[in-house]
Amino acid sequence: MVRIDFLVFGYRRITLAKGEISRAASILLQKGITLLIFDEETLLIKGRDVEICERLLSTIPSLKISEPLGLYGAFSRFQYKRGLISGLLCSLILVILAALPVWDVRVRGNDKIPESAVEQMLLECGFGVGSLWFNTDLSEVEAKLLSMSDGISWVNVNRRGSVAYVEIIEMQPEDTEEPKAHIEYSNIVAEYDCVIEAITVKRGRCEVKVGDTVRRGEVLISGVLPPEAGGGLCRAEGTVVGRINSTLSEDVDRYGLQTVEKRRKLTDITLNFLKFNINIFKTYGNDTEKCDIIKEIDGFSLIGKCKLPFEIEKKYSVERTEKPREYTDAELVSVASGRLEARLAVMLSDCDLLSRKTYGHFTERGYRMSSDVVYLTEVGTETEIEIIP
Amino acid sequence: MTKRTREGESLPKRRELSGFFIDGKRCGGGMSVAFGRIISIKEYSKERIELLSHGGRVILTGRRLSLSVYEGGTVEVLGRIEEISFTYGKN
Repeated sequence: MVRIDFLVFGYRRITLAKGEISRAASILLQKGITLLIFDEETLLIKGRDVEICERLLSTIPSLKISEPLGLYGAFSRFQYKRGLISGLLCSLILVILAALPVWDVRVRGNDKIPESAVEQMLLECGFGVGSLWFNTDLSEVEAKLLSMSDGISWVNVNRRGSVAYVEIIEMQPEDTEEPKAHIEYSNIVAEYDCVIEAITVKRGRCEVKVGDTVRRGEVLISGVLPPEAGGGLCRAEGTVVGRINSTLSEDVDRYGLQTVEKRRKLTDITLNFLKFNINIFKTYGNDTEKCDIIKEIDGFSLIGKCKLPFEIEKKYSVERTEKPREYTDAELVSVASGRLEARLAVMLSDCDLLSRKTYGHFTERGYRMSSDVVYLTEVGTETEIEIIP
Repeated sequence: MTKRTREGESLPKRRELSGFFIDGKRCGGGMSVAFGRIISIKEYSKERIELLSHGGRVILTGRRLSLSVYEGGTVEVLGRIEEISFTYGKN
């Protein structure tokens, strides 16, 4: 049984001999004094009733009354340790005061508009690091920011602890492409030089057959209908798959420029504890437009892979510069191979590769690597039939 | 006690056992029962509590019984109460 009033306002423990407890409780009950009995030798009374209890129970020889207990008792025990109490009070006041201003502003959702520009606009709206929370109307700041910037379509300012999180959505560029005109009559022509492997005609007249070799621009499915089908023009529809032989080459110069790291500058240190982020250090006003932002996260573990729930996140802005360098023979082959693989991966992303033969040789400038590939792909493309009146 | 009627007959006065009220509910330590108008605690142990009111006695038995006294003679007993019995009269 917990009595909150006892704990807060203080209580005393009265110890009596076994068998005396009911007698003492009856005496106090008749005088209207509240008490609490836990066991057969102890009863608890309120701190303020101690004098009257002492007087009422003075006939009991085994009476023992303890020092003040509870919160009040704790304070009264510390009454001579004023330094400690004043220190605790000062800490409490400091914590309350520290929660009043905005400590940090973090911008999210920006892609084209730099963070520093958003922070500058917020400052012009009267909101920034150092602004007082109770003095700021966040909805007013949002409205001002929206009216001030043409590139922002939506903004939301949230408070989390003493940090302001500004989430923005930038305006998307309007689609300037003109809509394609409706094609009424068309042919399907070959986009590459190839050998026809498969044809599926949905509408129109087939002009080639499987196994034919066609040149680029040659009509594959005609939009001119035969007389037996009624004649006239139509929009040709169908799929033509062709086999293409192609050669890809990649040249790498022995002497070239290489991008290297020039300077790495620490811009941000954040302590992540569970889902809370505490920003410890941040530099403002840095132009990081032509820099790479590198994020390093250091976790801590006690045993093996069991990580502790906090980590330190550091952000660096890295400036890069170009310097001349010379490739060795092995490096030349490696670089050429990598670049060729990347080009082939893009080219063959929607094709079926049938065969590939790769070879290379050193040239005066460096190294050339080539690949002869044979692949299947859709070769037909639609071209409009122009009607000359 | 007796009460005189107009005709001179004496009738016994109606005695009320409802001199106290009981309010019980389940709680963390088992069960909590409050009794009003208690004038004395006759016996207290962890297993047995005997309370005295103007109308009679209340005897509670159980385990781990604790007792709390409030103003106005209200007594609350908390613990694993197994049996509550009432006896008529103070003795």
